[in-house]
Amino acid sequence: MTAQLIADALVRGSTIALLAVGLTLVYGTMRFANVAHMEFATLGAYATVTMSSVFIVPVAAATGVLLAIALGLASYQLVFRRLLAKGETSAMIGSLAVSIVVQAAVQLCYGTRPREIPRELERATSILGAELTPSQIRLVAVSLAALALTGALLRWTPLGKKVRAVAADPALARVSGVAERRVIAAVWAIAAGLAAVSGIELALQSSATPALGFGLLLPVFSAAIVGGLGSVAGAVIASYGVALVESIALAADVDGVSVPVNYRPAIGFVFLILALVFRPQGLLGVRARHV
Amino acid sequence: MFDYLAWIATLMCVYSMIAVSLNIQAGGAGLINFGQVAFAGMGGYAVAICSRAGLGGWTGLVAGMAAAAVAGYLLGRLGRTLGGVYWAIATLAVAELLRLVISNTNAVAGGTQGISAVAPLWGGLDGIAASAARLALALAFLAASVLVAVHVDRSQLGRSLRIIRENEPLAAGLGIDVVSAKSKALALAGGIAALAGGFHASDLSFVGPDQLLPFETFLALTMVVVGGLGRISGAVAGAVVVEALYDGTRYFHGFLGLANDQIAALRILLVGAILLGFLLLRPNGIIVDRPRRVHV
Repeated sequence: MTAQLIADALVRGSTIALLAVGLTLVYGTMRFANVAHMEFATLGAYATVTMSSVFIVPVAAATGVLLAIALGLASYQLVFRRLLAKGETSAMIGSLAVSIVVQAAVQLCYGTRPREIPRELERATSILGAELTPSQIRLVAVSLAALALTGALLRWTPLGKKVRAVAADPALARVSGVAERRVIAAVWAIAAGLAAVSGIELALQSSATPALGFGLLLPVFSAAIVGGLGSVAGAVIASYGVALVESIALAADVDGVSVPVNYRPAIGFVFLILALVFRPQGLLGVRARHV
Repeated sequence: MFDYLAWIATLMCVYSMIAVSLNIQAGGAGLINFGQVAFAGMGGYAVAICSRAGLGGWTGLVAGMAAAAVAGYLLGRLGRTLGGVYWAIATLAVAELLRLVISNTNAVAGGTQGISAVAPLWGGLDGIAASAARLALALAFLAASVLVAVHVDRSQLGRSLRIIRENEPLAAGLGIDVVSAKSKALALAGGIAALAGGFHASDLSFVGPDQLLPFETFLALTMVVVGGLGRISGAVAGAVVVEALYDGTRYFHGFLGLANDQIAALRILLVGAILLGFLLLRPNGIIVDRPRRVHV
């Protein structure tokens, strides 16, 4: 029972964490909470659906990730950079517009019915008392590897140092000779790539729908906000935290009163609202900051 | 044809009210509400539930407006600690929570099926008389909402809100109670949106959780941006223009030979493209908000 709870939280948390890290990185370097971030997951998943009719699934997935990165860079250059120049309100409303436009475009091209990436039937295996399918194990492994890679990149490479410099103080980074535009482009590429990995893994579990990414908006935002917008480590911890709270709340049974499974998304919302009311600076944040 | 035009005109009135309400929040208080649809939904469901319970639609309308005003007031209080981004996401979460609760409470709210056969607010008329009565009522509600919004805009509260929007620390420094002003604006906006939602429910004679999708909020945001953030006339103009484009293209599938969900997607794309275009190319909208002289 407990093992299954933890396993479920690991799977769900891995999906959320890949998205929350990208969201928080973009926020950290640009002070921009991108509502359209989840759409990179949807785009990556659908690109993989299309490519998988030509290539084997791993190659299709790789092209899906590359396509999402290209779209991430293009959308920043064409839309978000200009929106950000107009101010926070425009950027916020504009990112919601981009999100809706992408969903509509996907629906126009692929229809509303779920689309599947070809896969074989799987049998769940038992690990330490928890039932997991091989694709769920792969999801957790791929996510953890991608997160570790991102962490290492940020901590130990010159690029990572520049990203952290821009996040800490854009003006100071600029006068210190950091090419801010390049750093921001790199951040968008990382964020879009991680989101696409999450979307593809999710689509491999079940199927791709136009709302695949948008459906994760609130849990991802709760994870990023609870973790403290801008904090990568906080976002990862909070993602698994949100997932664990969801699993525990759904499994809890107090005198026959339990939370129906339909309310799964609500747990994330309540978590988010409580976090916003009581700890707006996030888990690892030290001071309240107004944005 | 008269029915179709009356239907579009009625919808324009409903969305104008929702846009006016959103404009009080976004244009007035500078708060971007991503959960605007929740206010309208509360009005709609209150009318539907009360009319099914035999209490009458008008009772429901008043109850819904009161509930939305209280919800707005509380959301305004929440804005005490939250900056723009956090507040916007919190409102989206509240609206989605409401949609989820409504979808899952079958006994009271009809669950995913919704509630049908909501009694009309204009009594037992039919034919052209009903269309005319409903349009007249919609126009009356819109006029009342606009009058209230204009009154607030010119009042002490409206001036305080504009200072808050432009420079919140300055407003606080001038001795304006920022939280109280925001809460009042939100309560008022909630009431107006609930009036629109309640009327819309009796107009359609149906409420369902799909009416609470975030897309409805997005439509209202588009109207406010297209019309010009901050101007009441802008909100109404934006609602008329966007509604004409959105619902005017509802029956185009016959011409283009596309499937229904593709046409729906195209219409959404159209609205999204308009919003992005305005944000990028004409961020002040059709009717630009001018700086106004303030008499102290």
